[in-house]
Amino acid sequence: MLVTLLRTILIYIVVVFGLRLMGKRQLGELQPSELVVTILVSDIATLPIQDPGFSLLGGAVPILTLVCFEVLLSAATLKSRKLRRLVSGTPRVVIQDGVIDQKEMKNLRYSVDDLMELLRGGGFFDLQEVGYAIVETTGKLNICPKAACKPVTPQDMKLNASNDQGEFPILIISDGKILEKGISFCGITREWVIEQAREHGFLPEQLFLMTCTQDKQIYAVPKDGFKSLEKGGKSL
Amino acid sequence: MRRVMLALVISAVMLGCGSGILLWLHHGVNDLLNDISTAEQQVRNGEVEQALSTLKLAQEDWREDEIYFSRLLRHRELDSITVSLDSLPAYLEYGDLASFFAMTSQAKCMIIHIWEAELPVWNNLL
Repeated sequence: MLVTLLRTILIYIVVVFGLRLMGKRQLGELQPSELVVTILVSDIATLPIQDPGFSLLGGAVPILTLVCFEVLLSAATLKSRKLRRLVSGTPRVVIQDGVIDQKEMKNLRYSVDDLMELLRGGGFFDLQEVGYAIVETTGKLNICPKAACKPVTPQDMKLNASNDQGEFPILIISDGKILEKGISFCGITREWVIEQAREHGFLPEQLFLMTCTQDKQIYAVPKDGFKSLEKGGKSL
Repeated sequence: MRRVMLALVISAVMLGCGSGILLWLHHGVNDLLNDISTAEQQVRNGEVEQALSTLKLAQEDWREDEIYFSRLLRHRELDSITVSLDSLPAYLEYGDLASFFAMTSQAKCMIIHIWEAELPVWNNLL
């Protein structure tokens, strides 16, 4: 039993390492080749766990082989359009200018029910609102509404909206710890963060999170159980 | 790019280790087959004591190699060879030569099999 326990942990480490090696592409929408690798890796990983007579390397080597092959293949598809088409396919337009391409739907083996379900999943309950619908290589349907059905933007209303990203909040304190990357991105100093935390009535260690925008707007959330220093809370 | 380089390095290491392990397995298998063949010849020549000590050496060498082989190959096949080798001295001690030679043939067949099963040939790939 101890052997199974330790083998499980080791295989887990190998699988996590493998998924990390493949990167965020794998964790997001899956291309067909990535789906194959995920399925195979999960199946292979169970073999050394279930059968102690099966060597650990016999499980680790195929997993690493699949992962490395996937990484190299995805790097090669970056360079070659033909290879990318061969491995991942091409996006298909199923609705163009509001008109359903029935031939394309037949090629994709999509029924009307499938299409309507995907449109509803994209937030479109009325087919007449859809300008373009494209089935991506991952199988996801991306929808572009008709111009008349798009949400209104400040530009449409001819309002003066700022073009800069000043309102994008960056995390500068996470679970009581000041994040160096965050503060350098915002162009602020550690001392300034501590001062801002004090102005909110807390020490940095007492904050669950704090964000800062590039124009120095602060938002802070204290940890559970900590009262603001102004309200009689204790400092550490 | 870092991931690609790391994937290339891991692939190269696995290919290199795989080739090295194949050569090492070939060496280990050949040594064991030679020891068993030597023991068989000694028994045919009536040199039973020498055959017993040859088998004893072969068993010791096998036990050393088995520690590493078990990390690479299926344990069941290795265990079968261990059991076969362990039974050979007993057959010799009690003069059961028919069973001795039958068991040596079986052991040699299993040893050759573990080597052939690791070869990257079409039979194994398909």
